[in-house]
Amino acid sequence: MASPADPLSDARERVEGWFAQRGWQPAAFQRAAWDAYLAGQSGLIHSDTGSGKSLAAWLGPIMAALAEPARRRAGPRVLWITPLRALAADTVANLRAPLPELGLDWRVEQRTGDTASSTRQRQQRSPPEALVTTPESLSLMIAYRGAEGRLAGVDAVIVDEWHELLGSKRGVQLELCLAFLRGINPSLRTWGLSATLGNLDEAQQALLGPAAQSGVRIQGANDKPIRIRSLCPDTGTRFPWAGHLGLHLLPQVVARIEAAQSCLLFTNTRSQAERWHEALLAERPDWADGIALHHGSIQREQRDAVEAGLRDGELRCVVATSSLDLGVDFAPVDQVIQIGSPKGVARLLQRAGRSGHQPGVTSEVLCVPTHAFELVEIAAARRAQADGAIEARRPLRRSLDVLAQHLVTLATGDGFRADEALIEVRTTHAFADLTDAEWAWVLDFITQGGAVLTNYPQFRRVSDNGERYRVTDRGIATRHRMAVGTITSDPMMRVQYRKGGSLGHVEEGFIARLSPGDRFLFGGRYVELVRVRDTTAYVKRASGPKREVPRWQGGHLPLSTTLAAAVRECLAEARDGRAQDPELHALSDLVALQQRWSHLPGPGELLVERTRTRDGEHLFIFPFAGRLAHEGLASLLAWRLGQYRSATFGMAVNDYGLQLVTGKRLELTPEEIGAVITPANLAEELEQCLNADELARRRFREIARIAGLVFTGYPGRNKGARQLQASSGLIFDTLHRYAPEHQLLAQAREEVLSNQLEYQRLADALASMAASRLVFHDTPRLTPLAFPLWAERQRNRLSSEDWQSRVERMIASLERAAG
Amino acid sequence: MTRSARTPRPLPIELADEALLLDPAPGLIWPAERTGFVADTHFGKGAAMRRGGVAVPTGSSRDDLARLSALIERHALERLVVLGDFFHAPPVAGEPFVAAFMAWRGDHERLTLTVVRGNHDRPAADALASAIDWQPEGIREAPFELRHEPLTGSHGHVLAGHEHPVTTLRGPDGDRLRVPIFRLMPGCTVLPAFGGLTGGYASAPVDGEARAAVTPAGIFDLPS
Repeated sequence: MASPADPLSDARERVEGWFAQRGWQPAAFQRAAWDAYLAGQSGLIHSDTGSGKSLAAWLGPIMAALAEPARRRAGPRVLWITPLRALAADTVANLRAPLPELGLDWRVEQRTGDTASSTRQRQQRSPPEALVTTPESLSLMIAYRGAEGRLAGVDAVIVDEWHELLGSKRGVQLELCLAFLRGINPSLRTWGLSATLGNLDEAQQALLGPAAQSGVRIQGANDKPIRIRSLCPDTGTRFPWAGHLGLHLLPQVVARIEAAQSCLLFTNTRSQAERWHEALLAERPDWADGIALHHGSIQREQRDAVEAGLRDGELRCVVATSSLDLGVDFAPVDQVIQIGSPKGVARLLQRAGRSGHQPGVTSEVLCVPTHAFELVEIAAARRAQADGAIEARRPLRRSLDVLAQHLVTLATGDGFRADEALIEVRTTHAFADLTDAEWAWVLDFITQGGAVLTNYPQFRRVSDNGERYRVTDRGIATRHRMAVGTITSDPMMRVQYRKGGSLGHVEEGFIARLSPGDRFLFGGRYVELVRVRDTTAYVKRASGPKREVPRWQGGHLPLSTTLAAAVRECLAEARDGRAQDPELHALSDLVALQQRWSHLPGPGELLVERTRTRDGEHLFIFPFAGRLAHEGLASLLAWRLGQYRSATFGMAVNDYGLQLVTGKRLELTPEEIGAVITPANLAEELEQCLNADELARRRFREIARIAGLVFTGYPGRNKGARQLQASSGLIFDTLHRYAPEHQLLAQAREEVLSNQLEYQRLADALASMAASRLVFHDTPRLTPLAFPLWAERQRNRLSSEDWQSRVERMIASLERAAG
Repeated sequence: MTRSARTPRPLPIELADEALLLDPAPGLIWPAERTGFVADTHFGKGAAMRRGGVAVPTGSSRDDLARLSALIERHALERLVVLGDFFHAPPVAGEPFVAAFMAWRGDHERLTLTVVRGNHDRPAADALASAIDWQPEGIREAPFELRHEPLTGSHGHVLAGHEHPVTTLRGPDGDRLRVPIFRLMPGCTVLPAFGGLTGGYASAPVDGEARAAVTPAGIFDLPS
């Protein structure tokens, strides 16, 4: 025992005492994290939710503070970064909880986009010792004069749910902010908390930057075993071959909800959530007060109320989307239900972990397949989990839009010197390989507008006074600060009743597809769109016959590579009768049918089916590479086949395969089909067959917003800024025309390839298809594998057609509609 | 075919008993008077954005002037009327656009250039008055009344701009195109914005409105 005179030992004793009073004992990983922190190290804590990892990260800095001889100068000491501002309030409460008993008079406050400006000003005058904030708000703190002085006292940054930020541009933004903080305090300690990922080493490297060499990995408790089960349909019932709602299993789901104390029912999309919420209420009107809906579009206050209801155990069931994936556990929840395939193992485990639990007791997640083949995906998820095969999340690299934004942020704050900033930027994982030319381009972009001086007369944003790069214009500074908060969020529109009363927010793109008079289900209510003005969609309660819920954009995550591999194995085992999983047993009839009518491909086989229907000739090809890669593949193969036979191809994709439809008989031989399946010339031909410019144009929205090429502003504020507004599409066209070599256009094209088309996966799939044995079947009917593809909406690409024919076709379509 | 969608450019129409043409420039041509109407050129928008820190390259004003020249030549116009928002923001000292515009004006010396003052033109007062005949909103040009902001006027059929009207065409396969339109309403015709760096606003048609879409392939009469 150390002598009581040793302040650090005293601090430790207080912490141990705090645990003991609750009848707890610190876990080994918590002690390890504290020791590492007190030794001045940085690191990554990998542990389950609810296992005490927050305390593992938090109490290190707290002990250090307790052991300090005297109060140091004012200024925040610990920054706690949370990916969602909705989590900030809970986090503040959790972090505050142990402090009074430990005898530390620290203030813990939040500072997010929701924080009132009066509070922010007070925080600036008299900063709390610990700030809970988001990457955007941290960036914003840097964008004010005096930031270096105010933040120089930060000893530790703790990044909660780092896996959530990793792989996004917000993660890159945070990497840059961390590099800045390390620049002003070289002994800064960085700690991250992460759930299981396939690439924890890389995650740690990206977070710690130059400290990665000496960083530690703290392996937390994995005392939260999770069992994945599925709601298998009774044998003998006909199970749908396609579909996405899963409502045919409603009675069984209701029974499970009834048996549970409190239940979280996750869906993959908001529209699915709306439909399930509605269906549950229709089935059990007596549960009206006990069932709630929670998704990203619903008004914040309402979501908060739902979360409080869950914590207090007042709700029987909450239907939710990924909006409830993160955050603290809901202790009363004892049943988690997943509607549809989770599409990834990591996501399923995250959701399963949301139920409260007794240590050592197995959490169960019940998966409800929406169609037959999802049973395979559930079995595959269980196997991947058993094998520890969890998806990786790759951190982004060289996002020049984020770098440009960060440099303007620095210039808006205390300014920067180019040589110092370059060194600092290169310490990040994201920009370690930044070339001198790229760096020069970004500097030119923010100071001169672009690479060619003559193209941008009168441009001013950041100026170089020979010493430091600074923003001197107040209007430019103000607009930049406004833009920092909107790094990746899609422009959102408020949904509001005509007579006031806000319902929530929804992506602009969703509203854009509606016309006044259209009805949709929103937040559990049927509403009718009345009109759209500025950034608000006015609605009224809808009466009369109900209508379909229009599909929300997104939500169609591709099946992860990890899961796709497991799916193929499961299918092969089912085919050979080796499978033990109950899901695969339930599927045995379907598997037999597929075998009888065609073939069920195993690893090393590529199945191609040809079926003729009234619509024409359908080619079904099954690479099992996920829907994004299949979209690119479908266009590519259609384009290549079109070289043999001139034809117009309709296309459809799902996670297992792709379909090409032609109105006429092509009489392609298996050899001809085999010949187009080659990785040769992939990149060039993909550019040719996709409307690459159109895809890049859409992708450019986000880039333009981040890099400061479009300014969205806020409704009702800063009217003068209206003068500067132009849509990202317009800016894209202008750059395309007058500055075709622009780096941000190149970035948009790259992002289309890597994110939208999963280029690498596509290339891998094509190589593996080429190496596989091609199994070709002419099938008289649609097989179980082909049917869901046939049922998918066909998406035609029109890249080869000219304006004239496109417009004429649209007009013909309008005329038909007009009768 | 019931109604042919294909229309050779430009599209002849009749307004207030006068024969006119919709040109894909986009502009409205009155051949009898050798007069052309365009709206919302928004010159100087790129410069205003650059001054405000938004890095858009130059080139769009130059192209807009070239498109005006082409329109003037195509129809041998003697007079060009801009229905407001000629300027996006008042030109500042040394603005490159001013020199480019004056050179362009020199190339069309005999042309009368009338601008109906729009909301964006107000701070510009009577800039470049040697080259531009500035007129207030509501001037009469029987049977038309020339305005910037659309209004059902009492003095005749109103020709106006201001709205930057566009619509979204939808194809059978999820194909979508957002295109500028002419709005031909009873008593009022709204022209699409001419400027290359202008956006658009979609609005619902009023009773009795006809619409024509402006595309690179020409003008298309849209079924109502």
